[in-house]
Amino acid sequence: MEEKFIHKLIEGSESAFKELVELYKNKVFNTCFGYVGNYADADDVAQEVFVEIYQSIGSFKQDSSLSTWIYRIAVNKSLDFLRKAKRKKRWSTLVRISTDSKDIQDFGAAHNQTPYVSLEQQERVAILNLALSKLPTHQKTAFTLKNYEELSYNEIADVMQITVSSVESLIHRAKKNLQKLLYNYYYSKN
Amino acid sequence: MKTNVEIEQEIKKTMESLTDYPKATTNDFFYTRLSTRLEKPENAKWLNWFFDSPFLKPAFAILFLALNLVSLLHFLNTNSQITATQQTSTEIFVEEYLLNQSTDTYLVLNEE
Repeated sequence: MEEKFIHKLIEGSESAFKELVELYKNKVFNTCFGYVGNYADADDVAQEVFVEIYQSIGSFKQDSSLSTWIYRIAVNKSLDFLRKAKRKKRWSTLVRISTDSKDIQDFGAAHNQTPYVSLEQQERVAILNLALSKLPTHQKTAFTLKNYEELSYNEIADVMQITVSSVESLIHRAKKNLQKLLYNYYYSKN
Repeated sequence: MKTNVEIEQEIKKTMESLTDYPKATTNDFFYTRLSTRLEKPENAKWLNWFFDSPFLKPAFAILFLALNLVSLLHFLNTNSQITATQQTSTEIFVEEYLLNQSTDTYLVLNEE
């Protein structure tokens, strides 16, 4: 079933591509949101993911499932975005005379799709996203795929092309590091 | 001032904040915007890469300023050379036609 669908995509069927976008847009968007922490940037990155899918579906070797391949692209595009944002921030810090600390605002849970989420929970998610942004890349990826997309350890291992035990180790270390970062954050707020 | 126990509780709540947190979703115009993006020509993408580079823009600004400065200096230098040349030509002209000498001497000679 998936093979026929992939075949249609490779042939350039617009209806098949539209169907693909409808099936995966929210999964991709949510994954990107886990990395970038705000709606506007997550939207941009998600668009780039589908552009990449559109341009490179011909080179999809089907050595993994379609969803695994799509998640890989979403992770890579999100990480690319974060790297570019870091470079821009470094450059603007060089030319700015004064810098304001707007870190929490950058990760403001501009989650305008969920008006029923309490302000407190939104703020906590923003703080968590800020701490998440400080983690090493692999820990960030494993934690995001587990907690934002609720993928299983097997699925995460497929996306990251590592073993299940490596995924478990990454998530364990990510949690420890997040707790340390959050401790420093709440302690300094005291 | 919060105690360690209170801080630990805050951490626990924050770590659990993603539980039951609704997943982020796109809006209804996602595919429309994507289609527009896919229709963009290749050379426009190249231009975006060029202008998005964090180093090229300031580098070109500096180059632009440097070129203007060089042009200005060259212009000023050339101007001062022209003025000097004009003065020399004027002096030559005056000497050639004896314009720096009084005409009285010529009248006296004629009377004799």
